[in-house]
Formats: sequence, C-alpha cells, structure tokens
Amino acid sequence: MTNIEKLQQAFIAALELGDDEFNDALAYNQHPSWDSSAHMILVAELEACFDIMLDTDDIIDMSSVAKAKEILAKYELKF
Amino acid sequence: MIEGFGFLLREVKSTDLEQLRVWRNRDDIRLNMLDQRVISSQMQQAWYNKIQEAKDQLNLVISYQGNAIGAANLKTTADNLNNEDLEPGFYIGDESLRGSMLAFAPAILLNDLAFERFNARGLYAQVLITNKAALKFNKLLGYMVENEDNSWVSMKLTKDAHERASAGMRKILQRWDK
Repeated sequence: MTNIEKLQQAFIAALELGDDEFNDALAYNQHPSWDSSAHMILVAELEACFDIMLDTDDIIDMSSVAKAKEILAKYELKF
Repeated sequence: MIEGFGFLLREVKSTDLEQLRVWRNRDDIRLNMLDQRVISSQMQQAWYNKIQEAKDQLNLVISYQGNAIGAANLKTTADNLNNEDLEPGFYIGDESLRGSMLAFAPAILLNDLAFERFNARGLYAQVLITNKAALKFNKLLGYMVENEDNSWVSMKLTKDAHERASAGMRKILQRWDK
C-alpha cells in the first residue's frame, strides 16, 4: 500500500468519509465529520499506519489533508 | 483537585463566577444543557452559595496552562458523591479550545476523579439527540447508549469501559504533560 493510500484509509476510517470526499481541501471543522472526536481517531490511525509519534504542535496544526501531508513529510514520509 | 495532560480541574472560586456565567449563558453552551435558562448575577451567586455546603455535587473550573477555560461538575441524586451513580458534566468556554481534540483531556480527568476518588458505580449522561458531536464524544470516552426518546439519549459509562476507551487517548494526551 502506498503512503497516499494509507493516508486516505486513515482519513476515511477516522472521519467516516465516502471515497470521493478525500482531497487536499478537506479541512478541520469545515467537513461536518471532522470534529474533536474524529481528530483524536485520526491521530491514532496515522500513528498506527505510519508507525510514528506525532509532536503536540503537529497534532494541533493538522487542519487539512494538505497540511497533514506537509506535516507527515517531516517524519520522512513522501506523498 | 486533579491534573494531567496540561490541565487542572480545581474548585470554583468566587472570582471565577462572572466568567463562568458568561460562558454558561452563551447559546452554544446553554442550549445543550438540561436547564437552558439565562443565568443572572444573582442566580449565579445563589448557586455559588449553595455549592459551598453541597455534598451531592462537586463543581470545578477547568484550567489549561494556568488559564480558566471551562467548567466541570459531578452530581448525584444521593446524599453524597461517594460510591454512587454519578452524572458528570462539562463544557469548554474558551474559543481557542472549544471543539479541540484536547477537550478529551478534562473529560478523562473528570471520569478518573469520579471512579478513583469517589469510587463511582457508574457514570450517566443525558445528551440532546441533536447534539451529534457530544454523542460521538461520549461514545469515544466509552459510554454506551442505554435509552433514547425523541429528545434525549441516556448513556452509561462503567469503570472498565472508561479504562479501555481512555487508554489509547492517554497515550496521545500524555504528550501535553510537561
């Protein structure tokens, strides 16, 4: 599975998205499903999928799919 | 009273009253409460006087990094909080943290307090059926739905479910323990 597929899978699981809803513009508190609970699940999913431990600032700053890719790049993950 | 994850739950002081009243009267908070009245200064003072002696409830201020950001409470229909079924409640008033994932921290601390300090038999919550975010939030905390009608959902949390559900979240939230 590629990194982008893992990322998509994590978002779909955490936010209970349809396949066509995953895109770079998807943002925290703009999509009705991306609330505090979904964000908690998303962090757990990403850490499990990519075997990483996110910093506190990165957890809070992860406010869109595009931003998630940018943050995950700091953990040597390429998309 | 109890602290962790960068948060402190402490007793309410008289100097907190006006801030709590302002938050409590905001529509986005008040309209999710069982008691949806707008609270006057006099009502707030009367409430504060009452809770000084009350044994059937504990009212706390949620503080994050030294600043008050919300309120929490534990209540029972019995005479005192020890070894009883308890009803926890809390809200985040501070805009920067409202809707944040960090809201799970004071919720877990409050549940820890209920189960560890007061040896609660179970925790019960009444959530408006339209408050989907709170229902989802409570389910992630381990609450199970017991009953629902057209307006309210009754939920219960056991100590075992609390420990299971909070374990993964603690691993994440502990990063704020500095």
